[in-house]
Amino acid sequence: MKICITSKEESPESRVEKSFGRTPFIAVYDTESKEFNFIENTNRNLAGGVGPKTAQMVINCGAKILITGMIGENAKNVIDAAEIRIITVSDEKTIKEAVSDFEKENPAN
Amino acid sequence: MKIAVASGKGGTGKTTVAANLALAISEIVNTSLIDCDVEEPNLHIFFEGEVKSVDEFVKKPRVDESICTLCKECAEFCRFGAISIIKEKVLISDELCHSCGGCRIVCPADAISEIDVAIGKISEIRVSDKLLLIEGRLNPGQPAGNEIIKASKKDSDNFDAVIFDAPPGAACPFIETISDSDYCILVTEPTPFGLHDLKAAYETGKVADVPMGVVINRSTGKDDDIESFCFKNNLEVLMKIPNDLKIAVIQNNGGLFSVEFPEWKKNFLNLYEKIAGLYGVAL
Repeated sequence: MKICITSKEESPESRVEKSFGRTPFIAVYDTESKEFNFIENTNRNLAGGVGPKTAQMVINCGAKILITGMIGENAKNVIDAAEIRIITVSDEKTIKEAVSDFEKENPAN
Repeated sequence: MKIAVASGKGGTGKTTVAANLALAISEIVNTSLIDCDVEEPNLHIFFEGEVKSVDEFVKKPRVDESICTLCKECAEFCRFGAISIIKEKVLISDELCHSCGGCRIVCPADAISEIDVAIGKISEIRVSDKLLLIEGRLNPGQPAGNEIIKASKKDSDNFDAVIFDAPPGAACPFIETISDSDYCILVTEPTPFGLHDLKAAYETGKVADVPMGVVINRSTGKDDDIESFCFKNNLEVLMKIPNDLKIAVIQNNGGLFSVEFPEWKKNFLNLYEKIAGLYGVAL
């Protein structure tokens, strides 16, 4: 299963980015291979429609889970329609911590 | 001649100036007063007359899922994020769509058609033989009023004089309102907020290349900050309306102070003649 996490930088040690739409990077974590991939968010500097466009990137990754700080209504509508579960966490956490917390709380995954 | 009355800041007296100016002009020429503040039109408070309303529609895209190949061209084209491709279906968010029609053009499978969706109303109120009030009103929840503003303005060439009451702010609806005006009156008030937003409206108006002048409302006589800004930027202060309780009382009862005080009708007529004279428009 794939998990997308909004990320300030291109590293698992980076902190979680608080805002969904304008996140600089999306970390894609594979729960089977335990590997991280990072995608640059090319939509982040657009004037409008950023939330749904970033949501489209998450959908294109094939993720089932999205971990982020906060997400706006327009983006949430798209993520919900794709039946992706949204988990909001503090942006004090690193990408690694957010993922390991998720795995501890959801051992079935 | 088309004159927009704008301000940047809300509550400075745009509508007051627009209403009194249009009423004064309508004594001499065939005039239309157009309420372009489509999110909160309020000119109708000052005028009575027979009302005729029509719905205004815009196009929104719809996808024929039996033809759609889920290629994502439309979603990538849409800069407003109004189209998302989710697994086997296309999600269209009407409230984000700006009705540009681009998705229909880029679709290689020809799977997108357009439907008409009502987004607001245009009302005409016949105030007198020479004064027609036109009001644009956007339905609640609609994201953008530009199409309503355009529709409100579509007959403006049929009048000798047209006054546009612009929406507050200096963004898209303001630009839409002033874009085909011959002149823009910027109404301001002698407060730091009034000056701040006057600057924003002035900078935007400059880009739109519309000549501008300033009316200071609620003038206390201590209007130095506004006047020095106007002087530096070569903006003429066309008129000052004093901070007078008598004017406020008339205004708050839905009246027009140029009706109660005939000298003000003359002042508004002079304002029009001054602007028309600047541009060599015959009255």
